[in-house]
Amino acid sequence: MASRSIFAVLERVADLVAALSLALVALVTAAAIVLRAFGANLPDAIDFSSMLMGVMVFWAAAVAFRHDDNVRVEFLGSVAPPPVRLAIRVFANLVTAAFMVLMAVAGERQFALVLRSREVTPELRFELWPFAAVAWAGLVLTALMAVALALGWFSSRHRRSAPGDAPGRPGHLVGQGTLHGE
Amino acid sequence: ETTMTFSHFVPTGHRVHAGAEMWAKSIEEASGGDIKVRIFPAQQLGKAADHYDMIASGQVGAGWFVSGYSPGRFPIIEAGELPFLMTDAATGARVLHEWYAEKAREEMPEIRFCLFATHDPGRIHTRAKVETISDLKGMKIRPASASVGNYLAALGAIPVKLAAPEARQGVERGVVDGVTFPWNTIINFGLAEDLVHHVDLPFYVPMAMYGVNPAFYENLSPENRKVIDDHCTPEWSERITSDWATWEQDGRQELEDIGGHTIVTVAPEDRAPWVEKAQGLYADWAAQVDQRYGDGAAGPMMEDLQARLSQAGAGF
Amino acid sequence: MANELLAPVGFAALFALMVLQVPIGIAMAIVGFAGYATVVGFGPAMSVLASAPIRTASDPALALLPLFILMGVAAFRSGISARLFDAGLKTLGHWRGGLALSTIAASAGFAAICGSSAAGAATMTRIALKPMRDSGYDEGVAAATIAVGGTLGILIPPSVALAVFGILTEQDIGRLFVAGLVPGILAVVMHMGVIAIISRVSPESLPQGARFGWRDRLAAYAKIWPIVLIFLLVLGGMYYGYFTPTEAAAMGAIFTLAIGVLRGQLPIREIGGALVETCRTSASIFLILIGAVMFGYFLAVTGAPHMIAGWIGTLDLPPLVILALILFGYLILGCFLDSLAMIVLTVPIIFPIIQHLGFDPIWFGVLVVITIELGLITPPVGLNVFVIKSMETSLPLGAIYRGVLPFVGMEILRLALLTAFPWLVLALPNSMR
Ligand code: NA
Ligand code: NA
Repeated sequence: MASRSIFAVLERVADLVAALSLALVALVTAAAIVLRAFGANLPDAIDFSSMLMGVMVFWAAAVAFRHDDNVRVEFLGSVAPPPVRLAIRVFANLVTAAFMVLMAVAGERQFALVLRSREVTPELRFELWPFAAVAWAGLVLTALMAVALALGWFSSRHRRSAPGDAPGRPGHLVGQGTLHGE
Repeated sequence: ETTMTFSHFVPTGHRVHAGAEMWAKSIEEASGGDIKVRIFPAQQLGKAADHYDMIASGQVGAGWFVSGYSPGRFPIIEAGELPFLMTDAATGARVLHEWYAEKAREEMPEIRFCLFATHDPGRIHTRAKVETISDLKGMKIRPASASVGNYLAALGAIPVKLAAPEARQGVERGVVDGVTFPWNTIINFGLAEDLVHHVDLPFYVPMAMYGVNPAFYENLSPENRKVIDDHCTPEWSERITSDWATWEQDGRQELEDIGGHTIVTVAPEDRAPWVEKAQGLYADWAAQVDQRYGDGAAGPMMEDLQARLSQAGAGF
Repeated sequence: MANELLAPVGFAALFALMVLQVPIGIAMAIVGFAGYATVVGFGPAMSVLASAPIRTASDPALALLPLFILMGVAAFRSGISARLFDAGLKTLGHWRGGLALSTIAASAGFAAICGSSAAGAATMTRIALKPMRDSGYDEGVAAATIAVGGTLGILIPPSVALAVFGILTEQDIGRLFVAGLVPGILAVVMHMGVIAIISRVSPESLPQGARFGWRDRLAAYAKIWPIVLIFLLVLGGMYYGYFTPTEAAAMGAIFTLAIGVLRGQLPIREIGGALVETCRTSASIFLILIGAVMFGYFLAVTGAPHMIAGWIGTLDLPPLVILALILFGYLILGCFLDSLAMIVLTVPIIFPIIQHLGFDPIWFGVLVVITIELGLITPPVGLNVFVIKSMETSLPLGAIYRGVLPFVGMEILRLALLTAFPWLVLALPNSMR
């Protein structure tokens, strides 16, 4: 199915953008320590790593929806009969998708605001709007994934937890950090 | 009866909160209890850097914000942050208000600029003694703002950015060798134990101000609008700033009373080398304003501001 | 309706959405948004929805979370857990309940590099469950040991829960981490005590293993020195002030990756996988934080937290009784709620009260985290138990919860000890400069 492969590609792109951003955050932070030890300042280190964090979170969130990997309370899911369980999950995913679309719409306001404000980083005076644009794109992709999940566009092969799955998979339950890619 | 929510981002023990309470009480009295002001401290309603937008969008009726948290967004008022602009913050706030009120309509169109609420000019406080500029070379200093950081870099120091809660840890653990703050903040933040050397050279004032949401203002009765107008005046800029500045100045005496503190006063005749290092920042400011408002815009603005400050006796 | 009354309505709506399986973070964001729109207006609520997510995701104070998670993921992918278990086995295996003791020891070692509880439980399930089963261990006790060992992850530094507590309350995260050390070690000792008691009471459920010589032991220790090194780098760096917690996290992550690659335990292409896994985990944590921030703004505009704090202030009870009531509340909530969501929802309301009562904030932070940690192993919603059950579906839940029971008793005893003797928590952080 064509749509399936599109989502697979989008997922890889999202993983790549997020992973690169995180790697840069680690490297920029470490470089700042090393430079400080040698009596130098890495200009705008905190500003750049903060903005990269924002990019990382929004793009990685898209993957979280792709795999239905959000933290949920599974109480009812573990006691309700399967048809009720399915209905609840469909309801939850629809509500979630609607809200993520609203969040993506609001995200456009935030991007427009940064663009209009002409804000820059304090030291290098590097414009902020490109970061806001990339972050917003991640949010749009996240909303898209949430909608696709709610409409059942992902084949269950790609989901770690289909509506009828046994409750208690680490994927939904782990608030302290999930173990992926096991 | 209307309730005006007022938001700021420092704890209630901070002088900014006292200033806001003073302003709120006066508004409540002047409106005969018609306008109630509810103050939300400590980022309860939003992050520090969002306060301008919170006022603009109507999340709050009014609030205290620092324009320097958004470099590049309000280029004209960045003039106020430049080192060695004013020696006296209270008078300076009144003069700045008179100078900026008109410009704010263009630069801050989403809000109603109300007043400046800032502190006594900040100084450099260090662990080791600093008598001349060369003593600062290689010292890691936590700057109060980006523009202060740029000035410290021009002096040869290393500006190390730390979030406010990390500032104390940074000093205690030697991540930084010093900070820039006004006097009493050193004591209030628990830094006086470590930072025992002080350069008494008043060199920067952050641009912190009150703004009012336009829709909130428009929805008030004409009488209540007048109450707000009467509380957004150059005199109120001076009054609120004076309250904070006086408190900060008291810290200097307190440090001397504690003992073990060395305060190196840079006499007016010795200031030239310090001031000279800030010239690049003035040039950068002018270039930025010229770029936004057309060539030649910055020069007259700065001349006007400096002339007004000198006339009021607060110039450098 | 008075605005203050909107707060309980909001909480009710939140619980309804969560029970209906809306992701926790999204549920908080939805109720926060709707409540804020009710109190302040739709336009301002849209502005909050525009700014709160990106401000939270790019909050410099939160950068340490993904970096510490990366450190744990890198250690895990380098196979550190199996080597820790092996070292424990070579040292403690010949004692009664030796495999269980080794599990606790290995969990503690893994906790020293990983800030998450479930990650510890999952990794030890894979490594320790089969050996224990094969040696004839009682299944319930074996699984309970793993679940309990996992809870060490959020107390022994680094800890995601303590870091979030520190960020919410503007407390020094370095100090909080150092404060978690002694209670963490105490937990290890007490858990081992429980195992020793069980092995005396019913020797057949926890059989003895073989004894290893010093040569074997030293060989096993030689394989775990990197974890010791990184732990010392991270905690020592913060203790002595070489780095801020965020910098310590970055250094820890980079060194863990580097050691894994250099020792041939982590293929270079695996770095990408570690980064991807870290991003996904971080995203789910950040969604909770974003939701909590929005819910918090809603609560603030209702004025309810202010009212509750005022009300508790008028209660004529000794401070210790109020503290005990608060901790008891956490214990009950912990039976149902996700631990991180619990911290972000309640701490901003509770913390001012604690400060008002004059309790030490660092000490309180450690007590809260221990209480929440208890919730990870108690029924009906014991996160660590679910993690194990999901990986070994044949294990009966009832047996695991029964196995957990004696450990819960010991945990409550430990909580009482730390409440009675605050210096157990505070001596180390107070010795920091
Ligand atoms: Na840990
Ligand atoms: Na529980």
